[in-house]
Parts: sequence; structure tokens; C-alpha cells
Amino acid sequence: MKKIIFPIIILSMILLSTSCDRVEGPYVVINDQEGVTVDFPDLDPASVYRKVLIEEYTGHRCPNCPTGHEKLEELVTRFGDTLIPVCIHATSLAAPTAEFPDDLRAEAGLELATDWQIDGIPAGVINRADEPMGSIPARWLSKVNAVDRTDIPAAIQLINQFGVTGAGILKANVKVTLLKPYNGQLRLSLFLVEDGIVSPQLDGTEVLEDYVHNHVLRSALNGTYGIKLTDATPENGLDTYLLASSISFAGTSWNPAHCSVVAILYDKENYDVLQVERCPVTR
Amino acid sequence: MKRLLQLIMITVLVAACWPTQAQHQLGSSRISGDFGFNGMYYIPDSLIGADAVDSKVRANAFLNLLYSNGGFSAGMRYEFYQFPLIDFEKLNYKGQGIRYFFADYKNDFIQVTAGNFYEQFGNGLSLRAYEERQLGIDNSLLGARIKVTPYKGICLTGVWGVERLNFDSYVGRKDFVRGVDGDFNFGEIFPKITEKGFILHVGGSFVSKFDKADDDVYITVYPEPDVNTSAVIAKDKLPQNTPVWAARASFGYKGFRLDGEFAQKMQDPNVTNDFIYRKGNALFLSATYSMKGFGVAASFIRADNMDFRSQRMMKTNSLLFINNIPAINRQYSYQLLANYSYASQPNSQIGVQLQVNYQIPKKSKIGGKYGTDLTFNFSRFHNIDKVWTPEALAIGTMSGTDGYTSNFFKFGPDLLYQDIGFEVHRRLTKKWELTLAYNYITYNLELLKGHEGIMRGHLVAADVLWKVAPKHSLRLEAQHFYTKDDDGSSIFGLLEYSISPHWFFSVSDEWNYGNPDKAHKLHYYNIAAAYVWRTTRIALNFGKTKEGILCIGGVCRAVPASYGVGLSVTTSF
Repeated sequence: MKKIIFPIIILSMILLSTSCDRVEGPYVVINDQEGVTVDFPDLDPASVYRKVLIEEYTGHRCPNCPTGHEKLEELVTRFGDTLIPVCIHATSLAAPTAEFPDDLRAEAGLELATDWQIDGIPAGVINRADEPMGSIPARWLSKVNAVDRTDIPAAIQLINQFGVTGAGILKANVKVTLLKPYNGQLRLSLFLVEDGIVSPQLDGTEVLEDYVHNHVLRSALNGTYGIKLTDATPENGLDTYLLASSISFAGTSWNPAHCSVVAILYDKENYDVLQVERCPVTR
Repeated sequence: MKRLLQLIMITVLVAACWPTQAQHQLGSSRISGDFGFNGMYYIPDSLIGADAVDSKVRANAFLNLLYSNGGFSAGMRYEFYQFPLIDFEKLNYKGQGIRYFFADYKNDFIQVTAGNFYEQFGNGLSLRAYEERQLGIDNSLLGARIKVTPYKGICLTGVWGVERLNFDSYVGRKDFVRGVDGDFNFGEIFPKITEKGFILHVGGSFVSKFDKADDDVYITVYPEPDVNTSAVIAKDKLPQNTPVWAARASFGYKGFRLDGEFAQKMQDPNVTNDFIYRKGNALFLSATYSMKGFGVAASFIRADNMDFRSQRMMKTNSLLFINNIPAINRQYSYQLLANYSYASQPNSQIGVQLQVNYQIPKKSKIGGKYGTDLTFNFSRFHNIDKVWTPEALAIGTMSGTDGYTSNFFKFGPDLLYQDIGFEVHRRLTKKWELTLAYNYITYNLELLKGHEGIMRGHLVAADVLWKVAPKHSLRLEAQHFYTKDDDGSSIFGLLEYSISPHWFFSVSDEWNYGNPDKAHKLHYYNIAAAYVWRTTRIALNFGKTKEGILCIGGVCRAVPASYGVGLSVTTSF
């Protein structure tokens, strides 16, 4: 009898370890659980055009960054609303000091700068298809021109509601429509950017006290890399996705009248931006 | 071509130099093993779809070594699949190294194993760790096993291990399997039961997998018609421990035998079941009766959400299967039926299989001098009945809900497979044997192969064996498969000459004369020769293989089209 004790103990241990997890429902959370609370107008695919994202990495203590800002504004003037800029204050030159007390950095921007290995600024990343470390302002135009604008994989419709769902609450309602089959997995990021921020900026050796910073990334509404639209390639190329995300302005210095939401649709694997849209928080 | 010659020479040398006397004795120790080499020189053929491959010469090779001394044994298998046959490359079965090793001690009371091992509980509904080399399946567990036989007829087994995943490293794996099984053979415990002609056997098992949930799962839901949105199953909503329990029993009396096993799986949302939380279950029943000259066997199987794998995101072919839901239909060796073999559907199948064998007595008017064997076979499989739950209807998908409810014995709307077959086998004279067969097959191309439609086809086959002289025999196999569906009708002929026990030659051709595409009315010819010397077999073949599927026991894999020269060497010692 003794000889069976040891094996029985081992078998009992295995039996006891073969546990079972029981998960209670509901199991799934729909990403637009807040509920899209607007009606999107019917989409006319013929009216959709390909827009391009330019993320400019910058910093208020960066002596060459005003040159970058000028280049960016020149491109925005040239391409109009088909080029959507986001200025990301990052690297040590964006850290606040006594002379430059405002902190224009955003958590999402710092994460992006780290992931894109941004070292020297100004640096631009166009449609996230750029090489690591970004490119210098002189190359931005050629990179923007390199985007194939005849290829229009998707449309983004973006409607913001400010103060509707709660005081100081911005709710971004988004509708993504795939205009053709896309063989890849997609994510959607929602960024909040602000124009007209007056704050000191180094320009060469001179400090420009009343410098106006535009397109400054303030926050990501749904995380730095947004949310996956689906884990699988949509079977139907004309799939439509609805989702909504909110953010509170309470306790911030953000001016809603100067803010916009930028929606970025991109490929989960290679980060290529398929479409981008910008819409002011208030009209 | 140079590389092929080098490979052939090396292989033949290995085979020739291999010690040929079986099982080497060193005192009370014994060393045994076996070696296998299967190589091919690929020739591109765009018509049959045999694309040019990177390396034209490819081979699979392995060597098994086993040392045993009394109750102790230890073994290993070295596998060289670095440049494997293209079938295996497509399965990602590619790499090399010692992928199987173990040490085992066994006496009348206990058996302990450390390392890799294979194991099956009951019919495999809860656990089947096995190897099927032709399919590129090796689901061995790396870990430990203990078996105890406290009393004659009682066997308790415990296993704990990580499942093999091709040539991937075990390091960093976040999943493992553990389980226990109890088997009670009352015929051995109470010998009087056996003496009275009864068989009584019961057993039960409990197997659980742990699969760490590191990531949320994103799915698409359809809250409104024509509108999709994404949804997330948070990682804390993914069960990390999922068990399957199973109970089985066998009862027999004289020529009658009844076997059954029922298994239930707890919540296991995974990619193969579209992340539903419904419990799975499977029921397998089998009844046989035999008497002189007559036998009948009937089986029933129902499997509902029973795809049970080590990792919830794994959906590739047969990788990481912990259990096995068997296909109970009759297995055929007819070449033209190979493309329409039924693949077991662990997540949704219900079906029956009936086989009746009758021998018309010897020396009777109809039965002839040697008797005549008649076999009738019928099998039919459907998917299971499913009614969506209200939660699933609300979000337009079963994903992330309990999925569906199902009437247990109701057949679902889709026929998966049906086979009605009849076979006559008769020995005509001392030198001649004849087999005639007819089958009517219905095969759901969409659900079983991912093509469109249903294939209905008739097979007529004849197999004639002529013993030309002592040790010399000639076999002729002729088949005609008639169908208007899929790739259309085909005809197949095979001529095989054997000089027992050493030589074997064959020539065959399959002609897809009914292919709706004129350019694909192709011949798939094959010439083969084999030589057997003691425990060594060397075979050479040249020809074309049609793209299709290969199924063994209801487990299938895709077979790509190929054309070329093949060499196979197997030996044991």
C-alpha cells in the first residue's frame, strides 16, 4: 500500500493543478461603446481624395526648428487641406526650463519619438512610411510628392461634439469606409492638436518670446497607436467602421476654439498611413 | 542534378553501411532504431501547377535511436528537415535538430517518463499526443508522464508538458498541458467477467491547458445592418485555463461490442471557433456485431466546438491540437477518391457510419470455391444544428458571445460528406483474385476544401491480382471516377509487378479527361521501383502528383502539385 502513496500524491497534484477558469459575461466591449451620437452624411466615394500626414518633430529650445515650421507652413499653403500636419514636441530640446516654462510635450508624442528613433530635430515623418529618425525639412516636399494620391483606399468622416456629452468633454465620432479591398490589418488613431499657442521659441541664438506654435500634439484620444479596427482582414472591401472616443478638457490649458482632432488610419504592420482627416473641435 | 546525385549516393551509402542485424545486444542492453530518408528532385511544370522551387533537391530525413536495459529505456530522434519536401515547407515543418528525446523507467507497478512522449486518453477526445509523419504532425509533449498500475486492470496516468510546434523553440512558451486519466478494466479486476464472455471497461480523463492571455482580441461586430465596428475582448476575459473532461465505457458480450465516450470542453474562445464562449462537447458511439461470415459495425459521432489546442490563436492545419476528433467514415485507398477524403470537423459535425460485411459461403453455388466477400458501406456527415443566441444576433456575430444553442441530435442544414459504397471480393482460382467496387460520393467542396459547390461523383474500380508464379505476382487496378463537378471525371490505371520479397515495380497513370478546362485535361503518370533487403527498403519513383489533399484518419493536409524524381530509403536495426 505504501508504494502507491507517492504516485497517487503526484497524480493528485496534477489533478489539482488542472484548473478551470470561468469567465462571466459580457465578454466583449464594442469600441464605440460610447455610441456614435451623430448622423454621418452619405459618402460620395468620388469626392474622396487622399490626404497626407506629416508629423514634424520639434522643440522649443531647438535653434533650427523655426526653419522647419516655416517649411511646414509653406507645404500646408501649397497642398491646402490635403496635407495634415502634427507637430510633436519631443527630445531633450522640448523639455521645459525656466526660460521655456511651457511643456508642449504629450505622452503620445514622446512615445512616437522614441519608436521612430528621433534624435535630431527638426525631423519630419511623412505618412509614417519614412525611414527611422525622420528626414530633414529640405526633403519633405519630395516625400510628400512621393505619396501616390491616385490610390485612395479609404475615407474618414469625422464629426466632433464639444460640451454635448458633458461640460468640457470632446467627443470625436468617426466613420471609416474602406473604398476597396485592403489586404492588411488596420488601426485608427485620434490625436488632439492645438494651434495658436503663444510660447517662447529659440531661433538660432535668439529667443522669440511671442512665438506662435501651431498643430501642436496635445493628446491622443485613444492611445498612442489608437485601436485596431479588426484582427482580421475584412472580407468585404467596402467595410464600414463606426467608433467614438472622448477626452476631457477639464484641468488643461487647451483652447477648444483652437483645437482640432486628427484621425489617422494606418496599417498595423508597416504603419503606412492610408488616410488622414482633420476636423476642428468647435466650428 | 549534381546535388541530387550526391544526396542519393550518401543515402545509399548510409543504408548499405548500416548494421543489418536486428537490435544490437551489449550485455543486457539493447540498441535499436530506424532511419528514413525521403528526397525529391523537383521539375517545374506550370500546367499541373508545380511551380519552380528555390532549391530543386529537397529531402526529409530522420534517425531514431532507442537504448533499453531491463525496465529502463532512453531514446532520441534527430530530424533533418532543413530543406524539406515542399509539402512540409508549406506546413512550416522546417528545421533540424534533436526534437524528440526521452528517458523512461517501467516496472509492473509504475512507469515514469521524462522528455518527449506520446499519449492518448481513451479515443483521444480529451488528449491525443501523436505523430503522423506523412502529415507532418508531431504533437508530442515535452515534460513528464507517470503511469501507475496499483492493481491488475487499473491504470492511472498523469501527464504534464508543452506541446511540440514544428521546429519552434520551447523556450518562452506560455502554454502547457496537463491531465490525468483513469482506466478500469473490470475483466482483469474480476476475471470471472471475462470467463463468462463479457467485456467491461470504463475510464475517465481530465485534461487542462494553460494559455497565457497577453493580448486583447479584436473582432468585428455588426450592430446595425451594413455597419461594422470593431470590438475588443479584453485579455482578462480570456480564460487561461481550459479543461476538457471525458468519460468512456466499453461493453461486450461474445460477438457484440459497444463503445462510447463523451467529452465536454469548458469555455475556450479561440480563433477556430470565432471566439465564442459556449462549452464544447463530443460524443462517440460504436457498436459492432460479428459472427461467422457476417459482421456489422455502426458508429455515430457528434462534435460541437471541440477544436482544443494549446494556443487560442492557432488555426493552422493540425498544429497544437491537444485532442483528436476521429473521422469514422470508411477509409479508402483508391487513388481517385483521395481528393475527396473526408476531413474531421471538430467544431461542427454530426454523422453516422454503417458497414455490413457478409461472406457468401465457400463451395456454394454463388460463393464459388473460395467464397465471396460482400461489403456495404454508408456514411453521412452534416454540420450541427445552430441557433444564434440573442446576444449574438444583437451584435451580428457569434464572436464574443455564447454563440449558439444546438439541438443535440438534429443534423445541421449542410451536408458535409456522404459515401454509399459496395464492394465484392472473390478469389477466382488459386492464382486469380478479383475485387470490384462502386462508390457514390457527395462532398461539400465549400466547407471541406474552401472551393465552391457540392461534388457528386461515381467511382467504379476493379482490382485484379494474378499470381504469375511462386513469389511473382501482377496486380492491375483500374478506376473510373465520373463527375460533372469540380475538376470533372478521371480515369486511373495501375500495373504492379512484385517479386517477393525483394522487388517491386509499378507504372500508373491518372488522366483527368473530364476537366472542364481543356488545358487541364492532363495525365499524372508515375513509374516506381523498390528493392527490399532485410529491413532496408529503397524506392525510386518518377512522375507527377496532382494537387490535392492527403488524409489519414480524418486528419488532412494539402498536397501541392509536384513533378520530379523521388528517392526513399528506410531501414531499421
